[in-house]
Amino acid sequence: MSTASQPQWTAPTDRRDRLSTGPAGPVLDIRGLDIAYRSELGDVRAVRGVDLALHPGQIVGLCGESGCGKSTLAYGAVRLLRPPAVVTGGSVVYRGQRLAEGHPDGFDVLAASDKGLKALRWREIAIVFQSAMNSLNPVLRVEDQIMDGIRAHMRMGNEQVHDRARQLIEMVGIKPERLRAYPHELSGGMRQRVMIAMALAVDPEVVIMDEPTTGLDVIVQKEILREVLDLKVALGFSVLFITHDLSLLLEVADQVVVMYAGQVVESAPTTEVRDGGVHPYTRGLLGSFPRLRGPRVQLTGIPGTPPDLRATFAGCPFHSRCAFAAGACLEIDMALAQVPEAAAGHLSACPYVAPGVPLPPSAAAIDRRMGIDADPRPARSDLVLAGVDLRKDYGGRGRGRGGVVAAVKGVSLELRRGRVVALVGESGSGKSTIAKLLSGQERRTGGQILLDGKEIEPSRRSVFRRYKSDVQMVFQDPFASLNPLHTVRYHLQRALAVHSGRTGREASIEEIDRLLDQVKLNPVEKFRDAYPHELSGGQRQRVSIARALAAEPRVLLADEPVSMLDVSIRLEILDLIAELRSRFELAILYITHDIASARYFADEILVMNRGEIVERGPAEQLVRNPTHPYTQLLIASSPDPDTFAPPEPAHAAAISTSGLGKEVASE
Amino acid sequence: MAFIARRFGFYLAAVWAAVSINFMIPRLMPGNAIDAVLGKFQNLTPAVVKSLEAEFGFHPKGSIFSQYLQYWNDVIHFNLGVSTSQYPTHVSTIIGQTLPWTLALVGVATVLSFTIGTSLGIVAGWRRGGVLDRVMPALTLLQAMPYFFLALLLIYLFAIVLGWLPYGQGYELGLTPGLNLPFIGSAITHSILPAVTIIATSIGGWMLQMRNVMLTTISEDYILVAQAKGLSTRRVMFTYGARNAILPNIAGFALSLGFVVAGALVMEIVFSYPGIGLTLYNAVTSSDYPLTQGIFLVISLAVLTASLLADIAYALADPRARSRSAF
Amino acid sequence: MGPTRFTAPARLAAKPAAVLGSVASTWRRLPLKAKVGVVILAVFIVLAIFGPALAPYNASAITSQATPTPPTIHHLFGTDNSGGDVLSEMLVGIRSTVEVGLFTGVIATFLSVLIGTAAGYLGGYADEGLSLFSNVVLVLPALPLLIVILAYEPHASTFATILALSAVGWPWGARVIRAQTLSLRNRDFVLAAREVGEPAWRIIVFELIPNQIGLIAASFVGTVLYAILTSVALAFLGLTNLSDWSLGVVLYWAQSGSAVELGAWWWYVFPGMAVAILGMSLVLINFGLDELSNPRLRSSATLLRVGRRSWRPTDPTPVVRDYASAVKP
Repeated sequence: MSTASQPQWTAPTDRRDRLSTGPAGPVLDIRGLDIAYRSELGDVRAVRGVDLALHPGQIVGLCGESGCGKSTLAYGAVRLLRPPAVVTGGSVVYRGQRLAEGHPDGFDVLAASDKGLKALRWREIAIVFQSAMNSLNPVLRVEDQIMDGIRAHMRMGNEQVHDRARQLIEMVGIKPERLRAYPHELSGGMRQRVMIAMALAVDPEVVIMDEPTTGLDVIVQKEILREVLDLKVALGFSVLFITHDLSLLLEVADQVVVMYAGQVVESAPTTEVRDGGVHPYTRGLLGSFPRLRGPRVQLTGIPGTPPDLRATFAGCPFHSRCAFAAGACLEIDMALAQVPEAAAGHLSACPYVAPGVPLPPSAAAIDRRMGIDADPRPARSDLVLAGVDLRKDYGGRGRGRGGVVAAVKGVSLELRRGRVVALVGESGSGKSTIAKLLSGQERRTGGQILLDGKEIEPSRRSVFRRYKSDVQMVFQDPFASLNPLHTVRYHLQRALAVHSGRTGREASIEEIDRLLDQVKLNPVEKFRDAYPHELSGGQRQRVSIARALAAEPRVLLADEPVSMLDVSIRLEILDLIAELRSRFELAILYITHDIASARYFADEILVMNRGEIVERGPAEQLVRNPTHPYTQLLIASSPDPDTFAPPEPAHAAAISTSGLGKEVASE
Repeated sequence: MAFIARRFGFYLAAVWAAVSINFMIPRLMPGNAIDAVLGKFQNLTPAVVKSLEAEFGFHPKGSIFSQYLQYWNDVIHFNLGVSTSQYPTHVSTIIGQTLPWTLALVGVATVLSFTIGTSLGIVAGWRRGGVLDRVMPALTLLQAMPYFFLALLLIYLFAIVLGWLPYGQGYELGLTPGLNLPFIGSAITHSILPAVTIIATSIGGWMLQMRNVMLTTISEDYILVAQAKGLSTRRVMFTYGARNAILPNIAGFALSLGFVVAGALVMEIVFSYPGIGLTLYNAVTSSDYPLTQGIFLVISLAVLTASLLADIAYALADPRARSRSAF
Repeated sequence: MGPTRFTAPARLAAKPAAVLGSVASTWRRLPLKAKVGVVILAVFIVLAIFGPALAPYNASAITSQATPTPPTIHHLFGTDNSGGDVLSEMLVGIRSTVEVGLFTGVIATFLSVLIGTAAGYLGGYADEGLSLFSNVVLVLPALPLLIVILAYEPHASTFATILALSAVGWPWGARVIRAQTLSLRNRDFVLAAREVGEPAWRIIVFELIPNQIGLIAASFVGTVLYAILTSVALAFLGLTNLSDWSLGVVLYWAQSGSAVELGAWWWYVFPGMAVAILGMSLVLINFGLDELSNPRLRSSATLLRVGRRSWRPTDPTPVVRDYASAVKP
């Protein structure tokens, strides 16, 4: 395990002379790349004339929201996309210098044969895929999946291949015994480590990392990123790092490339972006992340939704969402140009906005009530719902091995009128179980639930429906929480009808419109009869909230209400919930893995780990002065561009090793 | 392994159900089956009736529960009574003579059909728009054809018009069954048409299912990873694609055996193939209830055993099966 | 992943229309294969209704003739060995065959939905029990069981046949529907409906079942096919009521009249082909339903769009330089 600090394997026998010949041109050079998905309804032009250069030893971060074409670009560049995807123009050259000199290790990727691509892939350009669960073959042992990549590219004896697999797996902090495991026997973090070990198996020149840590908890994410940086220093590969999370890139990348609607809008050294960026979209993204340090400020977010990629754009595709938009925006050609008075290599597609010009608050932002400080309630306002010493065990019945698992071990919390309590924890901490207990979806094993001070058993069938007029829930995934077969009207009508069964009031069309108006789905006529698939994620989540409001509840349980949404949308939803809280004096339980958003949004924070509350306190105070080691670790691991410190390889390795030791032991 | 243990429990339940159904059918059906049987014999004294009843495996005396226990006792000792149509041969003897024919024919043909169909399905699913992918719908249509109708057509064409192959019986009359070349050769030529019938009607189903699962599998991320690794096309196709895609097919094999056997039984009747299907048919038409029931029991047990074997194969092929529920 | 991200909305878009949209829009989206299947099936249903009225001869008439005669202008499908007109026998017989198929389909599918949804939605011991039951019925060989049952009740009426076929024909569908219910049950929209306060029956009827219409339709079509093939087989063995014409009964008389040995191919080829074509129509419909619910199974259109006739997953992404000219609107 100590090998993580000094990767000590010997280079493969036929290792080439890395970086030793010729001038340091880009190792991967993408110019004017166009990629389209053919469809009957018009081609989706997902990547439009993108330029991107990856220099040796560099980490280039590629960032943008879902559907911006970042993954399409990366997979298209190694021609891994399948029909109906087609590369329609541009060039992709690997080691252009060597190609020009006629060496066999330079490639014109778009002209390469199937055989040529087989030699290029993995040996020269390896990929760490997003979802490690689905990326590993479920019926092959981990070692076979590492070794077949080695065997495909190197002539090595069986013994050597085994040795190398062992080295690789140790290098990413996993015990060699686990080589015999099948993927389903490993945890998410370990699977992602296996993916990284696999990608480095034949010492590639370039590693494409596609959301390599998305879906992992922040602490594991931090450890893995440290490892990647260490390995990069030790082995000298270059990285194309793709993520939707700009704040993450600011921690790891040398150069940041921001994509919007299939085009690059800004490409700049990381330090320049950290200082604020130039392009309005980049600045909107930066303004969408709640921060962990500095003053609690009102964030701006980005109003609106991205354009349809089937369209041909006139001018800048961002202009409809842009706070600086002017008529001239419809005529620019989106060519990247050096930003005046900025560092060399800082390119932007927007010729009108100079660095340093403050972002004008958008109309929507002015209209919105502040997420924080909006009508702050006194800490001792009326107690509505309380959980006392809640416990929940799973299993026990009929499961031979494993037995009982305690998911929640004695948690107490209080939800008061007009106040937001955030429950922060990693996956498996038991935070969602709390939501299920409080909403009555599951029966608790122990403890009490008190509504207005009276004990209540919400999971009892006779109590459940009455309880629902007080306590409602907003679900995590807006794509799953609405039935695809029913209209918005149906969803709200049913909620109203069930509620009116309790109150005796008629569910009318006006009521539906009132609800839609409350969640800002205007004009209501447009949304009333829409089906979920016609709405964006943010709009669906608004419908979901409206449905919860139909019962006129006093308590809202929001289980990760924004984690499935794009960053630019998240703020709008959080701000909406904040506004509703002020307007209806709702008591809100905000469940999240993201402590920064809890700081932004909540009055009080409870930190949960392994079924227990380890620390609680007023939001600001807790984030500034965490006392419990777990809270400290959680805050230290959260991506935070404000406290960037480039990881010192040796130092980082020491931390990483100890961190790994813990993870391996715990899994 | 927990998976196998659970499946084994399931098959015990299925065996129990098969035996119990077999016990109940004659007692629930209208009309007295025993009388019908005994009616075939004239002038019986009560003592003879009693002994015959015992011989045929009926135990009408005593409570239904004690009859049930007695029935189980008989089944466990493979005492299935005496055939009424081939009196006084024991049912178990008749089954012992005919079952091997069916096992050999249906077993070999089914395994062949599964293997060939699955292989073709792999290729069809891999090469979209290729020849196999386009021909496959036509092959699948054979599923819709009744087994026996295809059998009639084959007999007419190859046995009667062209005269290339024999049909009827399992071997040329006059040969001595045993390990001698003329007999074995004759048995094989006699089994060609029946086997072709089974394969032709079932192959399309295996192929279609394999192709469809293959199509779902190749859009999995791990196939893309394998491709990104620069592995040989063959390894991507088989070790990553087909190796995963075949799992549902193996699971389906266990469940579809009942259908396959059903078709094979009818086919035997058309070919007068001396297997258990023809025997069942003869037993039914001559109201030989003990034989009918014995054969149903044996067919059930055979199908259940084959399903269990397929399940074990599944558990061996899928490392995740251990942690999964049994159904 | 890039490619899947763009197919997902299209699939979601297809859903509401498939269930609630007009029949016409469903028909339009139906693959050609399925349309052919539906047309053939419709022809059979029309024949089942009007067939007996269209029959040129009395199907059960017996003449003194003792050998089958080949097709002539008077007897388009020839005659059997007692002078009966094969075409008339078929026209009369189609009704019973189609009846058995459709009614068994309805009853067995109803049982499948009932048991499958109940098992999947209730979970726990109810699920364990119902699943065990379905699986046991599924692995028991159905045809021998039917033969044994019918052995005690020879020449059963059409109604009895339908009941017997339904009794053993439901578990396959129940299994599939249970699996689907299980996966739907924990989807957020079902939890949300519960959160709203919807009663269980409303959740099952308005949230779960409409989301499985495709599956239920496929299960129905599969069951009809099974029922037709099995009932024809049983009739062919002479185990159903032989005085009632059906396609299987025509085949039974052909077999017992040694039609094959006599070379009277018309006697069994026409009714046999009728069964095969009827079955084929159902297989075609199921093909279409499969493709509708899983667009991955449809390939040719996608391939043609990128200018390829056939394609393997390992083929590199095609590069089409002259984009504008290659695009076909």
